[in-house]
Amino acid sequence: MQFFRRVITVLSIAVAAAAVLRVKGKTEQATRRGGWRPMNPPRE
Amino acid sequence: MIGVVGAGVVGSRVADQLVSAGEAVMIFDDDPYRARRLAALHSRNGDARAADSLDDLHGLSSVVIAVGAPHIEMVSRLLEAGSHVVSCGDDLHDAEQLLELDARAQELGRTVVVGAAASPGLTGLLVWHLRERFDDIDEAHVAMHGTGGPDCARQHHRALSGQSMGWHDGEWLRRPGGSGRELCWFPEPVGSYDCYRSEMVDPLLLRLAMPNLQRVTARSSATRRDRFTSRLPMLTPPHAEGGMGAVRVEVRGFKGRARVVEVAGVAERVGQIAGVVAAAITLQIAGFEPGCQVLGSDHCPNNEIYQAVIGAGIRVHRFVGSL
Repeated sequence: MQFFRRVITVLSIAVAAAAVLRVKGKTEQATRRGGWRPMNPPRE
Repeated sequence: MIGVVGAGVVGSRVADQLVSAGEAVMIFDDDPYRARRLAALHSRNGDARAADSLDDLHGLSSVVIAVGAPHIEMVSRLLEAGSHVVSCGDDLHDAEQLLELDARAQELGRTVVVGAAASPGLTGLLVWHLRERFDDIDEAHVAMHGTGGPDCARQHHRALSGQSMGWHDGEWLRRPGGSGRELCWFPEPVGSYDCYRSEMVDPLLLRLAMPNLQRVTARSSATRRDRFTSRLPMLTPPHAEGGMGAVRVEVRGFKGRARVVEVAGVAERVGQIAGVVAAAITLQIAGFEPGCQVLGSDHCPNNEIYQAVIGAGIRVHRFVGSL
């Protein structure tokens, strides 16, 4: 019983750590100068 | 008459474009009611019929496959029956199998177009188009936001948990999906999204189309929830159709002695892009060389297809400024 409890505890910690690593960080707006312009069709 | 397999988000757009161009279409779907409904809708404006089975499409000049992967079995059957086949699939393993049909397609004098959608598909056309602005290109980086129909959403989910392929200085690099975050700017109104490596077909097909490329990567946008749940079954059923999506390609190369970067993109519903591209390819199928072909290669009528895509209302934008 104690073995299963340990396994479940270890797995829970591993899943929690994986979740934190997976979703951590925040998106920062990168600096960007410019914009999108319509592109002309290619020459025939 | 042209066959359309699938009466979903992409298939209905393909049928719409083909009927608008005056072509007769025969539509097959696993759900016969859906095929009949789509055929009835288009029979008012042109010749559209529903097929009872895939066998009814045998012998048609061209068939577009606009359903979820795998396509290999259907494509093989249709090819043997003498049709040109346009596959809108975006599954990597399926695309690899389709490319193995090259020798057989050449023997039969038929064309199989692999990756005739938004990404892959439009991405190849954009890289080809941007190539005109360079003396030589050596890098192409693709990013994609959004999904078309439910099959496309399921594929996006699978791709994030798969192995991404990237061509890097003469070898394929495999990296886990969901890694390699990069903030990518798409044309308005989509804007910026975090994009990650995923199991996309684009690098494989772009490398085939343009063997001189030294580095090719592909990323797709994903939320934190997408990444966290990518290895689990989809927790909620996919939407009937994704919202506004976008595709962008970043091409690097030389102009004279200067290193140049060009970025082009399209913001549109992904299903609409895929439908327009697949229909444009089908209408130009006679201009392809026999065998398995991918957009952007010199064996395709890229200019005609590009003009048709623009003519169908897909607006291509180029990024002007500093990244």
